[in-house]
Amino acid sequence: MFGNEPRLPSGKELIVLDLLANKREMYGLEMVKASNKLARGTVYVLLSRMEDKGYVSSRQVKDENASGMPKRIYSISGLGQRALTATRQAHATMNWGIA
Amino acid sequence: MMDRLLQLITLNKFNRVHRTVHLTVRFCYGLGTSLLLYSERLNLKAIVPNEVFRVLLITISSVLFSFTLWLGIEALKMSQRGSDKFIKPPGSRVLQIAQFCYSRKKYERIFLQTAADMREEYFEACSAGQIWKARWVHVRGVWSFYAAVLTDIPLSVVGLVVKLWIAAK
Repeated sequence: MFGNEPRLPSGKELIVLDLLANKREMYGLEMVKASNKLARGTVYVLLSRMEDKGYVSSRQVKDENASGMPKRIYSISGLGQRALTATRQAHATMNWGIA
Repeated sequence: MMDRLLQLITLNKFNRVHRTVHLTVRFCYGLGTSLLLYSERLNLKAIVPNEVFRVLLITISSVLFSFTLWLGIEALKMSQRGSDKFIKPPGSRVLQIAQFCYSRKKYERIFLQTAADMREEYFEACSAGQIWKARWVHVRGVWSFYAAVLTDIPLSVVGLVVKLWIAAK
């Protein structure tokens, strides 16, 4: 049951994947501001787990403008893109089946 | 960034000291003049026989004395306003705790990012002069840390249990 086979992303993971698919790269705070379902406190825990699953990838950038601390910018990976497409297809099939 | 901060602190310190000295000098000058006028008022009838001039002089001295009092209060307020010592940016203490308690990967991916976001919003609010917004950002940022910890611990425990269960199978 809990093998290594890929599973469909959860609701919040889907929101993040959707945002990243629309925009090429985003910061965590940008995602929080873009979606009202993501919270400041939990977004990085979510992103960290998604990175572990291979849905997103990140790179560190030096932000010179504000705090001066290194920030991570996130982008969707190939697996993330495939997971998003599969979930969209699954939802479309379910909707079609219900209709 | 650090140079700019130091420059701002030095500039702020200079402005504060300059303004305090300026207000104190004006206060002393005002107080001296007022006292002089009041001391003359005791024997004013002999010095200024004209009633109109006497009333005018008393009015001027009263206004000057009120202004002097106001200057004194301002100088007091200015001298009591904040110290010039360095203060740590918001989230420093929780970052230290997180660095001690968590792995480097989690610290960099979760807690450092939360602190970076908090400081970005905090400095933006400070530079816009929105002190209350900055305070609110600070409170919200610290709450975000606790929320991250509270979210991460159950997920980590469940993950560990699942891994153990798979390994035992």
